[in-house]
Amino acid sequence: MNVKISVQVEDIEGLDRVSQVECHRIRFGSEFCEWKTPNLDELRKAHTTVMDSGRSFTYITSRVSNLSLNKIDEQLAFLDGEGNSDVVVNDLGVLDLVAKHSNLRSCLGRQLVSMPARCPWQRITPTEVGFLAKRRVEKIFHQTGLNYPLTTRFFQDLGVKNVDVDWIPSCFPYFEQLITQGFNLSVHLYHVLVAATRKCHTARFLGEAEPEECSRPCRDRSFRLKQRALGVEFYLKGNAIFRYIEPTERDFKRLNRKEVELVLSIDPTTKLDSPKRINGFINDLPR
Amino acid sequence: MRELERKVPKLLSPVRSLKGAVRVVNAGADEIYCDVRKPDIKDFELKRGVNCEIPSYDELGKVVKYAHNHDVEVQLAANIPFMTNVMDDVIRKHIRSCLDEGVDALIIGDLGILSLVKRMGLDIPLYASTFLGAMNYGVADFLKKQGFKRVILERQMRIPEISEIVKRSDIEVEVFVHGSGCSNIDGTCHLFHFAFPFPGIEEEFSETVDLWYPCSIPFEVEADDGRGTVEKVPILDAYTFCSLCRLPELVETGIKGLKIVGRESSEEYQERTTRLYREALDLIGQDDLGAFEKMVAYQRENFVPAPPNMPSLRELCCERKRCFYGLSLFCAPYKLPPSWRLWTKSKFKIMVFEREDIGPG
Repeated sequence: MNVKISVQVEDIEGLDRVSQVECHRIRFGSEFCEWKTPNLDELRKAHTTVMDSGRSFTYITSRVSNLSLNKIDEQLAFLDGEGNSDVVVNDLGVLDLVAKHSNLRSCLGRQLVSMPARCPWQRITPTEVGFLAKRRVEKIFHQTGLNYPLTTRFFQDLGVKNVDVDWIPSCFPYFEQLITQGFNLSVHLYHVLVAATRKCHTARFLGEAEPEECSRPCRDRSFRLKQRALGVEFYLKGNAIFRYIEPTERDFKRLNRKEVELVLSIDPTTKLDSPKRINGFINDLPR
Repeated sequence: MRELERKVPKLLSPVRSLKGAVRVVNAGADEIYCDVRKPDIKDFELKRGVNCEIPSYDELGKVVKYAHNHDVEVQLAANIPFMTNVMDDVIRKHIRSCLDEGVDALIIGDLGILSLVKRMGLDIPLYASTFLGAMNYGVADFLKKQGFKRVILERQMRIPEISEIVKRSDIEVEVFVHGSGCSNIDGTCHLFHFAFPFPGIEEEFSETVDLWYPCSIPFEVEADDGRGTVEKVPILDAYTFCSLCRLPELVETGIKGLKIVGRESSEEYQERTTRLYREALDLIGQDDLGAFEKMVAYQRENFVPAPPNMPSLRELCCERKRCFYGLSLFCAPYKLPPSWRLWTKSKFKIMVFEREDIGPG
């Protein structure tokens, strides 16, 4: 299989945990919570550690408010000075900032890539419809927003070459189209993004006060949300809600025609919470 | 424009029929927003169902005529947050048909659709939908560069943040003030409402007050480390929100538009809510804050968005802490089941402390 493995961590502690992992890239930063955006010293340390280990470095940013935008602006200047770096952007303001730095490459994050198939419901039409009508809706529903040529051109004109998507097997044919259009794909395994919030569900549930004073319980706590009447089970980590898709060998084979990067997040629910387990997973990938 | 040039923002009301348009225009809306059913892709919905759309282009034409006769702007909510090749021709024709009926502006929620509209060579104001996720001045500036005249901010903003965006960006800013909402960011939420409520669900959740969306349903919350479960937590946090008390502060920021949510709501709701905010804005515009405070105190007890079934503003929003711009970002705005907050405080917090006490070894 023509895959590269990338491991995603949120903080320096996470970085220490994956130092022995056999991956080609480390993605560092907070994908969903702006309050967990690392400070400049942490970013410096992470960048040095990853580069010294001979792996590629990607900085992940979230959707942000004015305050965090100022912070990220300063960080991008640092990264630009260090030479070529990739930055995952989940905010159009950050995308605009990255475009001003000649050494930085934008990677469109999951929050900027539309994928209706992230929807957890079984039914994808408002009412029950016939076979042909359903097939027609399916043809729309399983695409990404980037499969529309005008959207592709819009982002490519802004210098976007890398794109983050979720591992949703029904979307794989459209992923191949993205690759043909010239995008490099990073596919997030296991956790499909369902929703994200700024008014954090976890913080509210655990009685945290203002975000500035949050004790960040999500660093080591997560929850399963179950509702039989809806027929769904979600996974709540911090301010983001996911659904779980177990990758199968068959699906790996379906995706192996083109070169993609697989993204593994260090997480208790995936059982990939130690270098040994992650390396085991990587070694067991279908070849 | 209305007789007096107000110093207060424009009031935008939702519309899904001619009847509703007549009612909200007469109730004092400065601008209305709506969409029209798209016959060629009637089976494809994402966020909302067809119930929030005007049934035909012919009826849209009547809405526009009535609105223009009363100097009210009509905005087309062309804000599908997603675009594909298959939909290209449909959306192109749809926008053309709506322009032929005389709509004044387009609300756009996808950058592909923005490119399509530019390619169509339309000379019409473009407003950036909340689906584009504007939460900072950088996004506002970016959208201005792309040709938008106005940006509708994401719901989850604090008033000082809104104020800074208005000051730093050269684009009109609009915010939501009243209606149905939740804590998820619009452009990042895939709990689509089109198929909801699922058959039989009303009976099962008869005690849930806001059973309009999947996110209003209580969930069983299970700690991932197997240390406990809490039942019936409305953790996804859908609610009806209100900003009445905060209007003077919002007006002070310099925003250009205040939007009422509720295209899918009844005409009665649309009219009554518009009238409520019109009265409040007029008092603020006259600098009569004393009268405004009295009006708010009275309406808190007496305003019912859609009688007879809906509770009063006080019961619906104030008592349940749904004051949109008045609370902490994290504060639980929903009415808590009697036990769970205590439970989480006593169990989860203690668990964290215990683990810290044990230390890394």
